[in-house]
Amino acid sequence: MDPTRDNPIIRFTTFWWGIGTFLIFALLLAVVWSFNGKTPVTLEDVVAKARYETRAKVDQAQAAELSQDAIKAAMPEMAKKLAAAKPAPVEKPDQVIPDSPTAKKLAAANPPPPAAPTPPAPVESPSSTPPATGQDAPKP
Amino acid sequence: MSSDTPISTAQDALTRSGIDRSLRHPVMFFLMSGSAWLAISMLLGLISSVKIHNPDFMSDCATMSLGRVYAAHVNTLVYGWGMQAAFAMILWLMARLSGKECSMIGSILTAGHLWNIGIAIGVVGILAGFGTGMPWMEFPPFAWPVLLVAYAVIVIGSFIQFRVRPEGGAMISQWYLLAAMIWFPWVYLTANILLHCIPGHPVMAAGINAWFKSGMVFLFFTPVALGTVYYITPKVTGLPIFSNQLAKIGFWSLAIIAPWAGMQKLAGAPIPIFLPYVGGAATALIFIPACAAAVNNLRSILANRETLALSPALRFTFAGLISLVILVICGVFLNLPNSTLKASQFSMAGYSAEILAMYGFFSFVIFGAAYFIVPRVTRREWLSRRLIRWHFLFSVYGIITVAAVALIGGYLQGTDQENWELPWMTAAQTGAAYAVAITFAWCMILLSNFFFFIHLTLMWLRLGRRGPNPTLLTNPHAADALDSAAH
Amino acid sequence: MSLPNQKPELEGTDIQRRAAREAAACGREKPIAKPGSAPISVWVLAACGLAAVSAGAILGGAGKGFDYNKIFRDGYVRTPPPGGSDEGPPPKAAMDAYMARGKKVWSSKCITCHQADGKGQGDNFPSLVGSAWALGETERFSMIVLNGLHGPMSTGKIYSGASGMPSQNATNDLKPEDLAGVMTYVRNNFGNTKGDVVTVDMAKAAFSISAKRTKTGQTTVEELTAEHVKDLPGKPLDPKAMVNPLTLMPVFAKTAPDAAAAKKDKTPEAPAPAAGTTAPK
Repeated sequence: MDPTRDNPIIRFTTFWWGIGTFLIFALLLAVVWSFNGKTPVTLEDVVAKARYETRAKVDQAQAAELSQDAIKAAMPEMAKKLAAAKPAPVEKPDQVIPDSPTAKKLAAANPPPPAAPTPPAPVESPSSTPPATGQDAPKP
Repeated sequence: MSSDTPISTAQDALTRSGIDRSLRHPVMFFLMSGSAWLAISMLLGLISSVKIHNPDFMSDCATMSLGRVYAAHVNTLVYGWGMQAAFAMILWLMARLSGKECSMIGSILTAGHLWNIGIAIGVVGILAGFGTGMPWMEFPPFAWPVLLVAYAVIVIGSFIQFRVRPEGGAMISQWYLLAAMIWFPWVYLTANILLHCIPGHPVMAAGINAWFKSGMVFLFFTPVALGTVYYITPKVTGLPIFSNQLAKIGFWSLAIIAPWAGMQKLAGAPIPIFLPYVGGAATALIFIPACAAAVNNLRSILANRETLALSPALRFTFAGLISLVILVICGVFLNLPNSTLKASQFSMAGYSAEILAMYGFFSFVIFGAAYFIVPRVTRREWLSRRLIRWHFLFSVYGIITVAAVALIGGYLQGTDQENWELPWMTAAQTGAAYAVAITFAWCMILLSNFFFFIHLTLMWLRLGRRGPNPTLLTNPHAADALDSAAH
Repeated sequence: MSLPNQKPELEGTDIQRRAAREAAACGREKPIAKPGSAPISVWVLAACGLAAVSAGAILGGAGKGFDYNKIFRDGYVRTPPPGGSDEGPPPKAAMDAYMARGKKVWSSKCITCHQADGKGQGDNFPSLVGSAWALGETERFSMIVLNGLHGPMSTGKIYSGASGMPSQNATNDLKPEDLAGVMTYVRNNFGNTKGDVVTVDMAKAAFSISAKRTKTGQTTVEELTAEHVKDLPGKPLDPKAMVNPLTLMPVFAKTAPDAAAAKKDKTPEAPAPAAGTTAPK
């Protein structure tokens, strides 16, 4: 075997050539990508550019106002307030949602008084009905 | 070359043996772990096939929902089995063809283990629901750089071996293998960077993904398999490749045509109109390089039919080439945009093409090469010809069933889907019967792979048969059949 | 033939013996022969030519120079599949199509009085849930919808006082499809499960019956009980038959259980009817 054809130097360089060959497409992609920045062409693009700049300025100003440190400092106090304001569970509820488990429990414990008969619904005049498209019934 | 003195032949044998010895661990590692992943993939494929005609199967297990199981099946088939089998082929073939021993065994094995770990984490990620949903790229996004680095470490040694090969031109196998080694990172990097790293147009991302799938098949798996075929056929039959010119035409036409294929999957999508049409045309044109390679090798194989009957390597290679021919013929006829593409685009027919490519063509060629390589690398002969025969028969029956059924069923399903006056359920029910047949076929293929895995494991454990004579599929009844051939 | 494990006789030099011992498999190999230069067969060229023709056809299908205007069809209307009939929206099952139409009508006209759940409001607007008249004979129901209703019910109750239910077709904007839809909707929604479809033909019959009424204005219970306690004439429609969602007319289509080809204007037969819906009194 020809010694000059197979030696460590050639192997070393081939190694890096190989890695480079594998990565060619990534390189090409990077090149093409860098050339692909959008230059404003239409009126929409120009106006959009200005809009994006304004938006960036607004975001920046808002972010400056919103200081993370202040938030972090306020968190423990807020947490304490919220914990203190936590409503304690009531033993005897004033308001009971009908058909909830609590209501069922109470109903089982104290049977409710007999319900008062519902008053008859008032027979309303047509003013309570929505405007009808048709003609009214002729008066009997 | 036929006037070699016996001593130089023996010297050649010792050189080859030295190369094989250096390659024992890398090649066996990749073949073993590859076929383990193949078994897992077949199992997942079986589950997903059952779920198509029987959606209630394992329906309460979120890990086994069809989207996850099918994605895991395809990804283990491609990256777990396909890539590792390709690594084994590249490593062994390039070393043999360049006459150089493998010098990076440790790094290759480390990278191989890294590859397996990456695949395992990726598959767990898919089954846990973190798959990306892009066909053939479903591993969670962290996986692809890991796999790429492992790939580079595994394959760079072969790259170097090619460069420092002795004087003389390169054999056609070496072209194919070198090209595959370079094309894979190109396709893989491009697709993954464009889809995972750089924000782009989402519909175009689907197109890039379709291009990637086609690129993997035609720009990596096909050249690796063809390189293997171009080695095994002349080696085993003892006959030269018929036409050097046809081989060159085949190679360069593949290089020119294959990168254009893939986007026909997105026919009708709002992407630039020429893309799907060019993709379809290129997929039809893949017939040319495939035909060139198939004709070249089939002529040698069919000229030596006794060897075909005897040699497992040649028989699997023959089956693989036939699958290739069928695949590209389907490619010619299933991509006509105004008629057949509508039926094959969203149906089982596309799946059948994938399986025909990955299993029917690629895997069969790899199996053939494995039956040739493993005895040399482990210095033992295969234990049982019955296991080889069962592997072959079950695989062939399975793949014929999958291919034929999925093609026909897919076409009918697609036609029913196109008929918009029918409820979609009709189309699904048309395909259900064929899905049952595919499930049955997966069972057969799983069984065949089981035989192969056992056999391979026994060989790896050095439990193969010691002896000078190879394990052939039948008893050779003519001494001269052995003479020209080399099993 | 030597048996598989029988070693061949070791002869020759040291190297050969080593090779035979250690590299038996490799020793069987021969170097790969140089590729030949046989001419390429004409059949191969012909087959490749065919593939190229197919590829060319695919490219040709893209239009001249991939011109967008050649491929983009302005005002495209989807062509019916070969052997198909109607253009228009994909057909739906009859029940679903009628219910969808009825829901639209209900939400615009009826919901204000009879409320979203169909239960009405006490003495003002009767509940249609489980209503015998809504679920009963279709002609009576249709007369109520078309002409309104006032006066005391059979129970003596008077809804909405003097005005009663106004006619829903006062401005003649109610179409037969709307009437059929809303009747089907009421009969199959809010917990009602009549299970049948009031077809467009039945609704058209209702319109003509309504035009032929001897009395004018809203109906009364007496008039309904005397003249309209029957079902509207018309062929019943299988709730699962495929209809055009816009016209609510049946289309030629294969449903899974019904593979026989039905002509476009022939409605499929309804399943065995429940008592009282088809037999006119």
